[in-house]
Amino acid sequence: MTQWLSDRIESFADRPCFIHQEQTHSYGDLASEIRKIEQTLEKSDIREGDLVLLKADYSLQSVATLLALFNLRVIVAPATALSSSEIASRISAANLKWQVSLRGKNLEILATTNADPTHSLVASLQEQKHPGLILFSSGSTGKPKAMVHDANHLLKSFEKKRTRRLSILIFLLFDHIGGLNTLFNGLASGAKIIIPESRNPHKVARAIQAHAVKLLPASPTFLNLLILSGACEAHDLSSLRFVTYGTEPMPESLLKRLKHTLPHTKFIQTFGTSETGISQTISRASDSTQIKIEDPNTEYKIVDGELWLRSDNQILGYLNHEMSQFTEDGWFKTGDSVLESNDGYLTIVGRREDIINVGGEKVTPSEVENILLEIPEVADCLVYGEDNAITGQNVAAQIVPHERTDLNALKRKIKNHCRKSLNHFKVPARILFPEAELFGKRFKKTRKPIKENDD
Amino acid sequence: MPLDRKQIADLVINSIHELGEDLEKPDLIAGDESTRLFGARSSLDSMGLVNLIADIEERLSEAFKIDITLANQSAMSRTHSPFRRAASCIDYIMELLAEIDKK
Repeated sequence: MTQWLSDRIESFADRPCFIHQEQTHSYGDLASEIRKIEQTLEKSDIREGDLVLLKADYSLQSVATLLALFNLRVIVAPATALSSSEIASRISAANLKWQVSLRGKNLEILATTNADPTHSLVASLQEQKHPGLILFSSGSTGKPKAMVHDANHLLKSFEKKRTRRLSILIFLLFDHIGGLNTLFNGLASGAKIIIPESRNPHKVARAIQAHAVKLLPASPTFLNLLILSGACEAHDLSSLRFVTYGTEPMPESLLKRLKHTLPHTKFIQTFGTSETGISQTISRASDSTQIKIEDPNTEYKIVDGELWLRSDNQILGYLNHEMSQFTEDGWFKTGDSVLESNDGYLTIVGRREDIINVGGEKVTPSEVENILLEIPEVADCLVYGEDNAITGQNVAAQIVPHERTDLNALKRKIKNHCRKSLNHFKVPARILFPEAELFGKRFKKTRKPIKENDD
Repeated sequence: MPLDRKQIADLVINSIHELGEDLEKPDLIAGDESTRLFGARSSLDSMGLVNLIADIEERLSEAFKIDITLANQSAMSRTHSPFRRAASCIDYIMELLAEIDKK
């Protein structure tokens, strides 16, 4: 790890660092845990420059392990909430040599069966004696794309953080750029980091109340769940001064409901990608989804409606994928379609690959979802394109109603509401009421049709 | 149990009536087997037809647990479109159901 972060952790020694399972651990506890784990690792066969999968969720031990591995200049791929087949596919995608997991408070270190042909990106980190961070994104083919960050470089962007007595609830996952951003921000500023018992909305709300949490970084899907579950009414969330949201577009109607439910909270959109890190942004207003990217480390431009970023924190490259999303001069094509206002504010419309083409007319799922969420009976929704032999694609919607009574009448009501507010080609031709939730374990929606043409 | 034509016809005509009410199209509200679903003399445009077909598919799935895709490439490439009139659409569904029964 870079020396400045070790020094800072030492300097915060008496401050509370993590609250987890009713226990408080100080920064001093974190520092001694890091030293303890370093000693264990030094006795193991893991060597500087090795590639290690760290299977863990947030805890004092897991964060200490991550930082100890960085200190040993290891290249770490954190992995959270994954099935064993997902773990295996990450190990093979990045050619990882070791799998480290926590058994209670002890480390379990297993060698994988991987051979050891060193990728040039790994070699360059090894040569510079820098630790690395491997993140994965689900490639469109389903095979995870393994991307490599120089961990020293990525961590350096947190060095300028001012010291603040802030309590943060850490929600986004340990293996996600958003979650790691929360973690490193918190550590660099000496914050108290609350680790919730689980990501269940009532458990999260209870932790916010119990520990007077001021900052909650989360996804729009989870914030919607927080309202729907009744957790906002059941708990006192008045300590929340800031909610930051990102990872997927925020529907304006949801933002309105959030402002109404939590009137004293500021809502701030964050923006980032696994490839370029999190960029500093400013929201136009608390009830606005428009943002301005104002980050000394990030340049942006809009090419053909797509947001391109160039950042000091971008990845060195992919271990198992070509660099086709990057231009030769280092711009990253985010795949996000955006609108820019005259005064330079951006609205993230959605993923370009999610745009639905109905007989040549373009439809973005978020604009239809916004209209659907206006209907009082609709608790949640997901809009996507469906193949269709007449118009190429048509708009389809999955709806979670508040009550599952007379769904046929509700379907007609939904279509009629959409016909009033949307161009006719944007009105969902198919409306389904699936029993299952519309999001995955990362509290983020993935748009894929559940039914395909059979010819 | 094979479905008879009358059951399918009722389902299709009901779907046409309901869409007629929602789109406020008198000829669809009073629709019968001779109602034109597509082409210059139909009151449905291509989006209207897409909606109608999706609704019929959903009704087939709900009422009879039959999951079929009506608007597929082979249907669209026929010389006489099965979606000319309600009657040809009903016949086409019967044809697809017979194929499923054979399998």
